[in-house]
Amino acid sequence: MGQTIMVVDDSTSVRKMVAFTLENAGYTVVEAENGLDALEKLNGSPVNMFIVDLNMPHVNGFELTRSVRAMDQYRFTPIVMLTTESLEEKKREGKAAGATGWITKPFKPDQLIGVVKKVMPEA
Amino acid sequence: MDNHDFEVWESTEKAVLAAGEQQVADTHQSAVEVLKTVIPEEIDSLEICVQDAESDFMLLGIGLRTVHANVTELTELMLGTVKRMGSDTQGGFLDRGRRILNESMAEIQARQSEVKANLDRINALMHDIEKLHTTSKQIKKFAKWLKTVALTMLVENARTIDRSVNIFSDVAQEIKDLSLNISNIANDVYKNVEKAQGVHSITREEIFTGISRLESLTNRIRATVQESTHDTEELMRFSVDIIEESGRRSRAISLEVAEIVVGVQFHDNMKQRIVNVTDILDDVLSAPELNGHLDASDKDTIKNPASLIIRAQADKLDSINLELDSVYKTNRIALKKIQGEVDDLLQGLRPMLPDEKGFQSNTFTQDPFSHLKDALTQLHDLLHRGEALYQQIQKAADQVSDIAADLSKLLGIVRSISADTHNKAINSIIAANREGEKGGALKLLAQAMNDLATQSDGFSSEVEDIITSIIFAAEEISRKDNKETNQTDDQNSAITSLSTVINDLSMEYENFRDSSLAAYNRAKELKKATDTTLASLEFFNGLSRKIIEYRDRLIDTAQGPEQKALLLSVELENGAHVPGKHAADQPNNIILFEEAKRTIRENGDITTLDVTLSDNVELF
Repeated sequence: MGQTIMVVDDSTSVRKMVAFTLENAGYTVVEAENGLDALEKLNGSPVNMFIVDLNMPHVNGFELTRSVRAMDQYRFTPIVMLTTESLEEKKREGKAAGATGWITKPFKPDQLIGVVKKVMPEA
Repeated sequence: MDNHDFEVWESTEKAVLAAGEQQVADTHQSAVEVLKTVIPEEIDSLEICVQDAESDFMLLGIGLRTVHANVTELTELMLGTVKRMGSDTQGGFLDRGRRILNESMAEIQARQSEVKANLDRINALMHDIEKLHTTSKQIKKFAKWLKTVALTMLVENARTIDRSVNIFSDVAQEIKDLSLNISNIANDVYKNVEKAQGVHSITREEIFTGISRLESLTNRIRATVQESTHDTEELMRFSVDIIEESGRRSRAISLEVAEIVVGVQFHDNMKQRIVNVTDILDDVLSAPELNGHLDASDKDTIKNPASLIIRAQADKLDSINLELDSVYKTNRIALKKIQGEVDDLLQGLRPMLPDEKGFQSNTFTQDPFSHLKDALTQLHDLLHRGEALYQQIQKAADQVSDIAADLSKLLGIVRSISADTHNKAINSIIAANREGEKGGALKLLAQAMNDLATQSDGFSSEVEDIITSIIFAAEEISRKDNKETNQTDDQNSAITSLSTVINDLSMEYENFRDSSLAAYNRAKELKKATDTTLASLEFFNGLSRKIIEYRDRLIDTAQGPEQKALLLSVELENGAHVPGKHAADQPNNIILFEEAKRTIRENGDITTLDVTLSDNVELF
């Protein structure tokens, strides 16, 4: 497959489980601990999808989504929020920020892969 | 009440009130001190606890990765191995082996039929030779009779003085000479036939022995080929079972792995909930009532008893602990199931491996083609032996051909003698008739001579038939032998290439065995990884004990009456986000926004969106 997904989450356990699930499905994973770390690592590199936590220190998930959407290169790149938040208000805010989808934690591997396959057409 | 009394009462009341106020103040102070002592410790403990637990959850995640990597590798190894065996596809080594077995069986059967046909031909030849032997004996007897008749005629002629019947003397002399000729010829025939018989009786003896050996060898080969066929089919059935089993187990293990993936994520949930507890405890510590910084604005804030606030946090810890216990149990059950699958997997692979005592007594430790290789070696041997026998037959047939050619020449002489004897006999009968009574005895003798000549004709025809039959049979064998020699060459080359294929198959079998051993070792690694991961779950119990300890400390702190009396400007909830119950498959936990559809449209793939994810999918 060879597609790259950036996983941004301050929880190491969640980040590692996302990476484990995606790598098993054949995707390449770039991990970032928070929004700031993500923006630093992004630096114009080819990323086919983002999986982003909401509540993170420094730059939170909404701020990161807005920043990424502002970049031409990632204008149409799928961004899925992966968070423990489930308030409708937050979901609306995420949608407004430019998120493609919303997954409430915890996720099951087949759910995550199902979402990835839906929002990211195979190369 | 007089003034004095009133003053006393008033001062007493004041004193009581002052004492009460003092008591209240003391109680307040005591409550504040308790909170100031316990809560920082509690906050520190909870923060350290969450921090420490992360490495334990991570270890569980690493264990899970190891288990999963082993399962994946094992499944791929098993599927790859079985695919190479070709039980599910055409062209695998078992499939090729099966075709070779069928071809070998057909070859062996054809070979046995050829051997039997040659035996029949040899028998027919020997039968003709036997007949020729009998006939040549009869010819010898005939020559003796002819000689007797001739001698009798000479004697009879000597008794008669009449010179007119001298013809008998000449005829008798000629007949005597003829009888000698016939006798010599018959002797030649007899000797030749005896020679041929001698050669053939030895050859036949050897051929019979050879053929019975060939038959038993063919039967042995057939048995070994059948054994190979049986072993190959067993192996194929086993491989099909492995495919089904590994697929089923892989799916079962994946389901359990998914449970543990969810379990590892509980740390994040727990961390956020404990942070919420520590934040509120921090609020308690920062409350103006604890720090004596009350101002006018604090009068309007909602005040809650410290006991209620602290008790609420204890309840949250209790709730976390209950979920922790549930996650632990789910993970334990999942790992136990994986452990069970791995044990069964190891059990399933055992037939491929030498047993613990090192004996190769297990079902599939024997190369199923080893029997076939033996059979092919024996087939080689059979072909060589068959070839030697054919050469013997060829030699015997050539000898018979030579003898038959000699006999043909002799047959011409016998025929001319027979015609001559007829003439002489008829002349003698005429002469005897002329002599009247004196020639009576001679007439009888001439008649006998004529009968013998007629008999000689019969012998000639009989011998001619036998010789024709022998020549035909000999030529037939010779022709067959040439054909067999060519066939043997072809078969030898076919057998050589067959041996090469069988060796290739055996090598593939060896690879299969090696892969099976690798799979078994991988399964053992998997078992170890599963056991280790299962053991690592024990941290849940330690974590649970700590959380209970912190909860109990909060409950103890909240229990004192002074905490009930202490009102704090702290809300029961601080409005921060607190994760809900830790469970996947919650309704609407996956949502794809309209934007997603548009994004997918931009990328040119809308059809995939129509695939239903699950009940959890919500599209706006």
